[in-house]
Amino acid sequence: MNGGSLKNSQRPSLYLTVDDLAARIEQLYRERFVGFRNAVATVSGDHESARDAVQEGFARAYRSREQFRGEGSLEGWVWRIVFRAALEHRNEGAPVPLDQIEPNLVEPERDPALVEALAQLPSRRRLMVFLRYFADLDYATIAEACEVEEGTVAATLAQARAALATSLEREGVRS
Amino acid sequence: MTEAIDLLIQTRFDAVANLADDGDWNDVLARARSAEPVDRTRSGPPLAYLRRRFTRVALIAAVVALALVVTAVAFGWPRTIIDFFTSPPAPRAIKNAIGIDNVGAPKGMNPRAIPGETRRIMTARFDDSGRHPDHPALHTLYVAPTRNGGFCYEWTNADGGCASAKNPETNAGLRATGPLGVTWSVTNGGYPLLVDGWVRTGATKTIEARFADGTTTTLPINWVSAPINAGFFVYPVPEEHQTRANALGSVVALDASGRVVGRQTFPLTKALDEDVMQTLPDGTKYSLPRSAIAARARKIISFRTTTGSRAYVWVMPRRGGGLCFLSNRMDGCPSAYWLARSPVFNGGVSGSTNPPLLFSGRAKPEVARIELRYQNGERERLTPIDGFVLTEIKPTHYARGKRLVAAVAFDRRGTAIFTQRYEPNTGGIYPCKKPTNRGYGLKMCP
Repeated sequence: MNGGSLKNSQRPSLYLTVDDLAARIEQLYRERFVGFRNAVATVSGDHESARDAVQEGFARAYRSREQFRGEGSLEGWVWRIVFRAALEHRNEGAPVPLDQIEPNLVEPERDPALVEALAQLPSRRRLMVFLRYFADLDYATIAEACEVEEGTVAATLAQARAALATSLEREGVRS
Repeated sequence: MTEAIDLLIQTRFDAVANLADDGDWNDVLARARSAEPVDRTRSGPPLAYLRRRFTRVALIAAVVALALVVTAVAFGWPRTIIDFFTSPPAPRAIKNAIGIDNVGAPKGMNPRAIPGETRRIMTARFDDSGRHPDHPALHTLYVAPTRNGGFCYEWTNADGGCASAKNPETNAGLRATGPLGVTWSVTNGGYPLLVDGWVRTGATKTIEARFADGTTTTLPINWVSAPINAGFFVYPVPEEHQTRANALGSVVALDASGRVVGRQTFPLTKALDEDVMQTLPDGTKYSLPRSAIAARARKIISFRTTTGSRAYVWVMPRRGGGLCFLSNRMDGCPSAYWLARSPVFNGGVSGSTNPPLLFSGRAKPEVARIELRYQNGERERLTPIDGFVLTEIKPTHYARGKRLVAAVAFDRRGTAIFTQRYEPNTGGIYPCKKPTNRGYGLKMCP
């Protein structure tokens, strides 16, 4: 009875996952906090309020996790809650239509050319760019988050990418 | 080309990203706890009281739970505590199952669970490799507090139980297991098959399964916050550990220094006592201990009950001495050692909400007669055959006031040498025409 433990690879299989939404939300938070905060900051205006919105959004998601039906990704569902918290924070609870959101880089002085390139994009397309490149969301999740079809995300991001490429190439020529 | 552009854009975004990770999961948990979860399945005045009561408890519990989480981070133990009050409510069927623990408990053993406060804690998923084919992959844990400070729990597709608030160390019967409470099922060979249980918060750091071949494995503990204050585990023993050489021998609770603070052992069935399929002389097949010599079995009692079903008793010799018996109400294979130490008479009624209700028992050789005594003064004499009695309790004795209260054993001289008494008013034993609703979907004959 006092023999040594099995090596991990030899162990009898135990929990593959603790399939608890709480654990999944915690894992999402630990893996994606920085990306979520940076993406939210483009809407809230600064990293401090973005952090607060992410904290509040994750707390709401954690508290109401039994309402998650698994019909879409957990990531997309949590993002919508976080995003709503950010908008409430910015507008003191007043609802804001998605089209009226003007996401922007928080510290424009760090890359004026990128700011200028982004400024050429309509606001919704810009938001998708931030969700893609800051929050690292996939197309399906961005579609859920922005409440559009996945095909729309693909087309929008393709256009945005082309526009950004053109702008940044021009910037490259100038420099 | 697209990938190159994508990489270029990503690089620009990475360069302006704020990489500082100022996240704080404990802050998220604290915010989550700042509002009580809404249980939409409950309503009505009696539960409103509970909700008020638990709102107050929740505030205290939130502070305690937060302190525990902080402690966990500081000391690295326990790794994660699942907050009871922010866990989602259990479905109605589970609340009913917990409620049945109350209303279905024998007299004096009601755990006083609070079914309406049952929460879904987590789900454990096991992969296919090594899992016994009879086992489902998912087990969901539900836990409810009790009114006396304990808890009741249920793992789906497994087992469950209740624990009182008393510290087990003060209970002599539970002293050996320490802070552990373990239940398990076994294979036909008697090897532990599915083990589940709980461990109270305290000194325990890990739970370890120890096998006969000297190997060990650590079982994940799911710690649950106040008012539960316990950790729960479930462990389907892998198929490769279903042999005598490497079967699960014990589950132990270890403290931070690796000292055993609680132990539940699983004595291995002796090879002769392992169940194997055997054939009786009339051709019927039964799972019997290897020690039972089925070829020499004799059917000593056989009759048709009032419902038309057949009641029977088979007896057969046991390898190595002793006796094996089999009936449609009892079976066993005691060795000569245990036969010598058995009581003068041991019998009882075994029934359900449906007839027939049978009385069966086993008597020592000195017993010449058994007398059944009923509440209404009626008596019935039985003569043991090879030490066994089996009879049907007639429907005229189903009603309260007419039930069995004692079995008296007499020797050959007519002297009463032993009396076994029965509680006549225990529900769920005597059949009835209309079972009464005991609550939580449980219908039982009174």
